[in-house]
Amino acid sequence: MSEEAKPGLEMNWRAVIAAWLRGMARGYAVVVLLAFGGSLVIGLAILAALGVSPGQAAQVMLSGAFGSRMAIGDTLIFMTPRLMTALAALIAIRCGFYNLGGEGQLQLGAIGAVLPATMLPPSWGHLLLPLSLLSGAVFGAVWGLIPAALKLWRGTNEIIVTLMMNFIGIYLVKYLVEGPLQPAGSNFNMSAQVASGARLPLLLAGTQLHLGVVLALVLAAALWALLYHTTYGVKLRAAGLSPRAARLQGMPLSRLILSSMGISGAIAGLGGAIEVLGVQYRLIEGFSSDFGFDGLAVALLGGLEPLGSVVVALYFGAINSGTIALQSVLSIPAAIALVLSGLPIVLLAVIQGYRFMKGRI
Amino acid sequence: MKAKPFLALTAVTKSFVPGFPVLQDVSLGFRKGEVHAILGENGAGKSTLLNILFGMHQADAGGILLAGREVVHHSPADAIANRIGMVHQHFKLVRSFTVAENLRLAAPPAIRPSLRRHADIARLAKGFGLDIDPRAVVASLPLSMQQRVEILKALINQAELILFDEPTTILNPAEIEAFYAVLRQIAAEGRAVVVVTHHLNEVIAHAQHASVIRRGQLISSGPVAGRAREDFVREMVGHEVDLSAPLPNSGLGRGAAELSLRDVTLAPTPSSSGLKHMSLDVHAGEVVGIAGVEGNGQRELFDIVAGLRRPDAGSVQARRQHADGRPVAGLVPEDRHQEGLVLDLPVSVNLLLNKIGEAPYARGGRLMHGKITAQAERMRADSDVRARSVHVTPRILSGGNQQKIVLARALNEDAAIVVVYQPTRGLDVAASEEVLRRLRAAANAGKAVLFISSNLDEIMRISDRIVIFYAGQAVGEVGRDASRAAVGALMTGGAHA
Repeated sequence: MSEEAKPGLEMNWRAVIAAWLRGMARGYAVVVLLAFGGSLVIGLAILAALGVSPGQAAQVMLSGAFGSRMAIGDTLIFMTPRLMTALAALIAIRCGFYNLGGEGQLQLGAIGAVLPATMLPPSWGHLLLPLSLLSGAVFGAVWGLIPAALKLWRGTNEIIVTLMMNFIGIYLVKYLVEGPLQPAGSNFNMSAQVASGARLPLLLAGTQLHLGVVLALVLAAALWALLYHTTYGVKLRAAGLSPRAARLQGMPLSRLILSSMGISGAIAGLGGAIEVLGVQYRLIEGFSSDFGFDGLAVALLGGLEPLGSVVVALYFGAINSGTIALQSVLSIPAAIALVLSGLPIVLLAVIQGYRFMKGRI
Repeated sequence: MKAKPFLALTAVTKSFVPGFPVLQDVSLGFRKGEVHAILGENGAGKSTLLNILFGMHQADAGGILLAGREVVHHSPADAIANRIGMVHQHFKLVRSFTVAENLRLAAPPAIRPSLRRHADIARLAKGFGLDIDPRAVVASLPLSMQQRVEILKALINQAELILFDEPTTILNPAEIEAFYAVLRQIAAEGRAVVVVTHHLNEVIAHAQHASVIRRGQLISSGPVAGRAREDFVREMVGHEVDLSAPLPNSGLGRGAAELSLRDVTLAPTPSSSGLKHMSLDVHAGEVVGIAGVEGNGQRELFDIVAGLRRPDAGSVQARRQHADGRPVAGLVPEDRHQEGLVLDLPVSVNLLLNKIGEAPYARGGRLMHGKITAQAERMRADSDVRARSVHVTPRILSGGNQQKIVLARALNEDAAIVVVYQPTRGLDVAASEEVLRRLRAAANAGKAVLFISSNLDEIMRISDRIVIFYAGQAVGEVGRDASRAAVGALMTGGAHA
């Protein structure tokens, strides 16, 4: 019954996540439905207060998200980066390493992808695509391994290091597109276009939907299999839930943390590469609208489960495309998307907090 | 002499699943001025009884009489309003707040002004015999001090009846003495004190009144004075258990040395005595008990044998070793929840945590769920782990069942060495007996058991040899037939035999 009397940021985080996970196990589906249903109701009420009929707003949003081939394509495009960063976050957090650095790893992945895609001779053709994806994954992995190594060998707090490295990544992109990667004579903060052979093929005629969404879904399935059907996965979960017990049974904690952070960074980096090679075709300053942070929210709302994250990422994608339709049809600021994606988190926290206080978690 | 009870339960019945009463027709009275112990095995219904008193559960039938008047507690707030306080097993404190802040938070508005100054709080606490620094942050305090904050919370709410749920599991022997001194004072000042526990020795030493509950029924209730320990054990367990008889060894003598420590040395630190030139052999077929007051090198010995730490000097040799030189050994660590189990992974994974990456439970890195479940089911049946299935998590099991999982895994290790550290901590009489019996049986079947414990009674019963630790050194070794007094003297560093 020894209890570590060690207050501080990290301990609280672990306790919160542990309680969160336990809460998931018990009646979580109902709670999530309540949170999402509740936030849609509140969102429509806000729209009503803006003078728009809620029925009409709901209809515009729905058709903007799923009403046409184009709409579905947009929803899936918006889903993809958030799913990638969610997968990246959950694999590290399940190992007990709080990787809040998905945004930075995504930025580095985009850099990693744009270098071969713009620098190598375009004549390499379709060989450029796998090379660029791989390069993006490696850049992200390296960015993820740095805080892991610092924690293991220097004892730094990973929450602070991963968080701060986001900004280094963001400003590194800014520096590159304003300088070394800016084409001569251009005044825009963006790189040159990537070679056509490096672009992700489009999937659906009449839409911009690219192969990246398939990659993300395959990765989600692969992570699920990894977590639940491999010895690596069970060791990773054991180390994350109870590092002392795992260590006592001879599990290599350092190797698990390093490898899970390598995987985590690689997935986030791949997410950045997919944005460059599938959506923007360039490296652009500010190309990520906080995908890394959205990914954390998606992962936690999805119960730190790959398949749960797919569902939540789809919701985020639909909100994104639905609110763009709201803006163009009803002239409602698309900032309402931030409200609609933020509300489930707030509601979920409130519901879980209430259950926690009532002793049901 | 008998005053009317301050609070009484009248024929209380409670069931969570229809047809399986947790409490059946229990009538009990608590008097002011008395420490009233409620004894019972885990799962006997003690905690449910407390929860009904404190308003967290409601009785299906029967009720609560407060000073002869029928009261209903719908929530803890009702109970607190009726001057009932409770000190839970897991404290309800804001860990990042100071002692003073926690007290102000719990105090009724009328009292709060009197808690404004630290000096006033310190004086108030001292008046109750509870020395504590009001400025200290709760998280930085040892558990015994956090417990005092909980007691103070009840006292400033002017509780006349204070309930304690297993208050001493987290305390060391010296702290337990101090704790009961406080309880006696609180009771002597005219309050009723109720302590739920399964530690018999404490009850006999400190309680005036004891009630025994077994499987939801009140078995006895009366003054402690003049009652024998064996009576209580029989009433709690339901049959005769001899808690002093040695557990028989095989009589075959010991085999080869499985584990050898030679001159193992660990530098002392402010929080550890270290180890000084420790040499120790554990042979197949024997139980070697390590006796000593906590903190004299026991933790360090466990860590070294478990491979968690490397000695500064000396060697650890085992017949079978891992690739990195750690001995292959079945381990039962001190902290069941943090070190023994992964509470949120299934029982099956916990039973095989030491072998989860090996054939036949894994093939080419893939988990063989069928093989894991089948083997786990076998181990569960052998060890009598009471769980609905091996797919549930140990978090929902009782302490006794959790420890059966840890022990089953340790005995399933492919090595003769088994190292156990405080294996019966927090377990009730029946579960403790089960653990000791299994360990002795394992030794008799050829395992080499290193038994580290602060419970001298257990060590005396199970061990073939007892090595006594003092200040990180082995200061003596005695055999099966040694006297308690001789061991006790060595433990306190008195006689270097």
